Amino acid sequence: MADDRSLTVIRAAVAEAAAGRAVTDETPLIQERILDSLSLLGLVARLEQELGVVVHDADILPDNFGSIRQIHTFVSTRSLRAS
Amino acid sequence: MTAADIGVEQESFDQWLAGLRFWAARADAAAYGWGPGPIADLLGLAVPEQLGGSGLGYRAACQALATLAEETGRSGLPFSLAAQMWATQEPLIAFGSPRQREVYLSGLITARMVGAFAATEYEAGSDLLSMRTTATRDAAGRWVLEGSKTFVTNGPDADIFVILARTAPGSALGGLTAFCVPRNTSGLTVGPEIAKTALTGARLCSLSLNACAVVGDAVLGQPGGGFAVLMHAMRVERALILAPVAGLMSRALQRAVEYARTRRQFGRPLAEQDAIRAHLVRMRLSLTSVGETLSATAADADAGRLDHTRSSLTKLHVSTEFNTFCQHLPDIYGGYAVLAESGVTDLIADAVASRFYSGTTDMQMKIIAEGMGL
Repeated sequence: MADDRSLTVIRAAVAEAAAGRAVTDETPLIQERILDSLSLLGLVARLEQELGVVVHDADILPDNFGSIRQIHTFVSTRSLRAS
Repeated sequence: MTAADIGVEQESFDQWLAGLRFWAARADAAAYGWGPGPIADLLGLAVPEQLGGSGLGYRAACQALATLAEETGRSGLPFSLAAQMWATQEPLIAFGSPRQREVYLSGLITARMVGAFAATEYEAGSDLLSMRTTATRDAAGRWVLEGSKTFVTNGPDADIFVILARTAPGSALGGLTAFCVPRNTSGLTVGPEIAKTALTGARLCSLSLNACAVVGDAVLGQPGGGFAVLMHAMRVERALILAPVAGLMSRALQRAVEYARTRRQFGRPLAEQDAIRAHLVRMRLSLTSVGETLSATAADADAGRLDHTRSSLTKLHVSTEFNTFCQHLPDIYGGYAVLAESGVTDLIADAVASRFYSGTTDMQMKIIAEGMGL
């Protein structure tokens, strides 16, 4: 399971993309247009750099990036695979 | 055995590359195009062996594209090949079903088919949210595409199109789906070639999609997964689409050096005049930088560590240096630069175009900035 640090990094990265809008762990990031195509690339880069997870292009799906909770679940899965 | 008969699998890559150079330097205009032989070999260089390619990788493919451009001095075909390799073959490799790979990928890498990637629209280039082409399910379960695409490289000749369409409202992530659409599909109209002043020989067109119905297995990847397909294509394309530029610049520098050695002004060759020497040295600097950048980026791709930031950095750097390189040419050639036989204005047009295709310079800056956490 991804640790608390993962959740902290994800929340911080999404908060930057949200640019001041209130975001909970369940906020639909795509429907609310908090993540666009560019900020998504930035988020992916940050996950790779700060958490060491590898995000493949095929992973860039709504089910993996739809909310902070889903991103955290995705990162956890990736961490498990890597370990 | 002729040079065209030399296969990658039979000879070492260096020998094959020498064969490509031999062929490209001698092929006449009629023979210089898509077809079996060295061009088919080239198309399969970066395709894994288990999928029918030679598996020699991205670095080998980039060397081959540069060699082709260097020997022929023509940008069109190398650019067309690169566009197919990175924006059509790559998505099929990464996302294609066994049937799509069997039918389309094998056709593309044997040069029996030509492929094109259609994402851009009149009002949606880098701005994916503006994409208006839609695909909806009909009662029979088919996907029906409606809309239009433009700036479709290889479109006039393509047998298979990878087309992005909106399948849900809202964000590009989740709202787009990629489809494999054969040319003869009812409702797909391939427009006439678009006249342009750069990349001569690389043919562009628009597409119209009117009640263009395809069956479910035309989806490339998964429904709603079009953004992933696009990101994959763009990551590789932005990194390597400019591979031929290294060859074009090398040829242009060789010609400029030769011109400077033979052209005499004020009783001595241009090559002995400090101002001209400085231009040539600057051009060499740009060429060296471009070659090393492309090589390192292709090596990253071979190692499976090519990220979007590196791709955009490469696109930005190579296109910038290509333009810087070309700025020196009029000062060396003088009035000869505007004569068609010098090829200078063609090269400058190609350099200008390189700032726009596969995402503008501004878009590369935005992607790089996002990768930097800005």
